[in-house]
Amino acid sequence: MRLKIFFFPIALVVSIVLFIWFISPEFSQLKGDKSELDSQKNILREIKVKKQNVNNLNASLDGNSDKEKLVLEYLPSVEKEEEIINMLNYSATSSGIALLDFNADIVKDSPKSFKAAEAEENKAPEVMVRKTKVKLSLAGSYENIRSFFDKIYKIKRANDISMVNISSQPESESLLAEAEIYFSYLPQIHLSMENELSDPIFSQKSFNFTVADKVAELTSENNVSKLEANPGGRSNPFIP
Amino acid sequence: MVNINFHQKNQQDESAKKKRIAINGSFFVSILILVISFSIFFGLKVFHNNVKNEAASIKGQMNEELRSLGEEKISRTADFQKRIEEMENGISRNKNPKEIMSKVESLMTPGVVLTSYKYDSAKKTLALEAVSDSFKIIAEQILSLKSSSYFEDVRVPKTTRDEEGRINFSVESRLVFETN
Repeated sequence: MRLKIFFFPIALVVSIVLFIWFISPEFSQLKGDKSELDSQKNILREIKVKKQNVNNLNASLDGNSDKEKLVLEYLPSVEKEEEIINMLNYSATSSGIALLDFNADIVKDSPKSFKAAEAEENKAPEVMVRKTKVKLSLAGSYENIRSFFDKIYKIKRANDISMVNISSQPESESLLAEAEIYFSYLPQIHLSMENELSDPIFSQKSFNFTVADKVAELTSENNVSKLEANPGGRSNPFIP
Repeated sequence: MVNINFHQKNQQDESAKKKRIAINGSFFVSILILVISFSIFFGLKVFHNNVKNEAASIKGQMNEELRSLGEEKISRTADFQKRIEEMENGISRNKNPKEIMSKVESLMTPGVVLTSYKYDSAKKTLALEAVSDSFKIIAEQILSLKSSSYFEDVRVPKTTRDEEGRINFSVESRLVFETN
């Protein structure tokens, strides 16, 4: 009987201890885990949607392989210096001007617009456009120089003619021109699974191919012959 | 006559009974409290374990979904998108030098001969040097450039006469054009 009297306070104390030391921490931990579970469920749902989008986008690329090829040709993943030389040579010879001097430098892209765009999108440091700066000097008539720059503008390679300096020569009808042209390339982007499809493109269902159409229209007139390696081979390379 | 106090005995019994009931009641309440407390505790444990298992299963599903997608497909998509964005930027920013040259051609005044043409796309500036026989023609040339909406801030920083009596002058201006 006496034991029964003490049972209530003991039960009360045990319950309070249980609540304070075990139930309460368990509950708060459970709350945290539950909210994490909910967020993971949302992420999974997003991943499923984005997976569908990626499949659609890839199918869209498969269906527009000509446009994909053109984009990769216009903004390649490697510098392709030999193509730049070939294009400059083609543009010069087909315009009837003499290419006097040429030198190329690789510069990482710095125009503000690209950096600002990245800052706005709050992106981590990522693959950026690189540019090959080409300085060249050429000689020819005014019409031919004008035609040369028009051809360069329309070649199948992203470029920016940043400086044109044309001057007349004393006692000569031929003009001398100097130019600074930036040819762009964008190293291949490799995304890993850690990125968890954070790029905004994965929320889109299709690509906007307008720019590919613009480039196709812009470069339609310019047909630089495909460059092929010519390993003739000679026993003494110092003799012509 | 001996007096027997039956009433008091009854009262004691009643009080003992009440006490017993109270003790028994508190015992059952205690049991109930303990049962409820332990039920909550074990219930939470079970629910928490379920949550943990579900979280692990979702994590597994996420990895599976990503694995089934493949890095190649993701990279191809992101790479193409980045390329078209950069191309869009480049195309909208660049101007065909031929268009600017054509504009200058259309604004040239008879009697003025260009000796130098300097175009800077980053600054959007055009600096011309030219030669003429008459100040009036030079004035007309400057007016011609100023009247065009294509040129802004047209200035003539230098005018000199050479040994042959011709007037050399330079014109600096800023180009105004809509990007594509």
